[in-house]
Amino acid sequence: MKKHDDKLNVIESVKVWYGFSIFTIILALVAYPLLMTFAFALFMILISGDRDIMFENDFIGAIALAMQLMLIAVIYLRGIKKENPGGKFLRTVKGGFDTFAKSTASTTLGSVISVILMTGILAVLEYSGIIITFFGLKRYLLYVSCALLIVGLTGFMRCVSSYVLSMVYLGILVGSAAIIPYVVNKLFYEKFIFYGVIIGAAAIVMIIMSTILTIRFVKERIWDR
Amino acid sequence: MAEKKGEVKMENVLEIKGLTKEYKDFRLGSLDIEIPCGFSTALIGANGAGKTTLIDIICGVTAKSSGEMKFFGSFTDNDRSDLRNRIGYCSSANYFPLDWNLKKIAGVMETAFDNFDRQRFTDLCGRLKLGSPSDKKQKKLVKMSDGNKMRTYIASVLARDTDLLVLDEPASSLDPLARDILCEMFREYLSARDGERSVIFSTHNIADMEFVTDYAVFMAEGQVVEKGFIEDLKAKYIIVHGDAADCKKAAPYMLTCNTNSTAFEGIALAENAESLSYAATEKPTLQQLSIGILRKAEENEKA
Repeated sequence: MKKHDDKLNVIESVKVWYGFSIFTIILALVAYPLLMTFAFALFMILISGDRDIMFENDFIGAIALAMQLMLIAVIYLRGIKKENPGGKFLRTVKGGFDTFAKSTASTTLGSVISVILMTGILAVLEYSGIIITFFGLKRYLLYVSCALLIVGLTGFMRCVSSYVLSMVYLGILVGSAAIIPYVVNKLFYEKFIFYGVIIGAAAIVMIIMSTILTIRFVKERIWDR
Repeated sequence: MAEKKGEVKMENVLEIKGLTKEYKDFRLGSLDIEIPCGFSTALIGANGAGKTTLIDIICGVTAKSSGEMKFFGSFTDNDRSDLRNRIGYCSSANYFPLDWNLKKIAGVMETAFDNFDRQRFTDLCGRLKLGSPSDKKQKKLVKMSDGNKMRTYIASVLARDTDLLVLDEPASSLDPLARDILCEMFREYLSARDGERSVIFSTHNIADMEFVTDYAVFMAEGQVVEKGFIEDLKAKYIIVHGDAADCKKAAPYMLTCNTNSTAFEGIALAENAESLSYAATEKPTLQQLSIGILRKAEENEKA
């Protein structure tokens, strides 16, 4: 009997899993947090009448990263459990688990790119003198590395079976993301490039590990049950 | 599918042997079922009987604990890649992510399956009064009524060129008119490749779906309690009505019996019709048959 070719490529896998292309997802992960953050900043300035309240400290970097992380978590959790909307459909599409694995790896890479892009935009805005985010471009690498480390940790959310526990875990991560600019600014007085490289390397290992482990976890503990 | 079963080539679209699924609080099976090819088969049972679990296992959504399944005469459940393309499946609720609309569904289905026909999806959406996937203004599923969500699921699954349709409670959220259209669509699906295509669906709306049911599998407490072609089952069982005074006399022959101060009614095996000649008997409807069989299963379970 003729065997049917049942594999989707990476781009198709993301489209089937999320309904959007990976490029749209990256765009959304960059644009939404920035738009929401600046809308919030504008609102705060309007009610306080003080421009510095939002732009002369690390709020912008903190809020944008926290919002981005929440969106990343929503994307990471799509369709993992069959009881969730779309969960059963996604188990019957071409490629089956292979489609899930490809879309997971792709969106993880997309998350990394979106974090680098968003923080990059903030750095450009700071360089232009429009905002002050994390007190100096010198600490940009350290800031991105810390953000990516948290993205790596976010990947483990897919291994938390309990909804309540996963929300608590996400809350801790979002809180951690929100204090990154403060930590970067206050705790690292010097050697921030050195620490940036070290934390960046740890973040890459964490992201790869969390992606591999969660794909395995989902296969063994969720998908095949 | 008006042909009698003797006139068609009898092969099974699905053969299940010793299938089980263990949960902490529920056990499905062990099940042995043969679903005939070319017909529409209803899975009938009370809530929690195991219909959805069985459907999910058939479609590869849930893993079985043990047992064997043979599809289309030669494929096993290890041949999922082939089966995914040949089986059209939809669940009873939340089949698609709620932020999707018709346009998005059409785009995703085209990528997710080789045999999805966008034009057919558009036609089916029109027929089911859902609008068009090409409309500028699109409504997300989250904003649709349960009935319209189900219509969307049905349109998407019927827009694929499959050999077997497996639908979980497709009629439950539909209005009577939409149920009638669903029955019509089932018939069209089956007759498009007569004898080659099959439908399996679970339902609680037995009366509405009787017209489209050729074969039935009755389930209770994770077990199959009866199965067969509807016409055979209607010949096997009879509905018995009589005076309350005759109830005791009839009791040994009755499978189930409801009594009040003046009369009794219940279901019995047709082979006992002569012994029940003092009472009125009639051919049961599928609805009466289902209630009788499931009530008997419930009584056996209690006993």
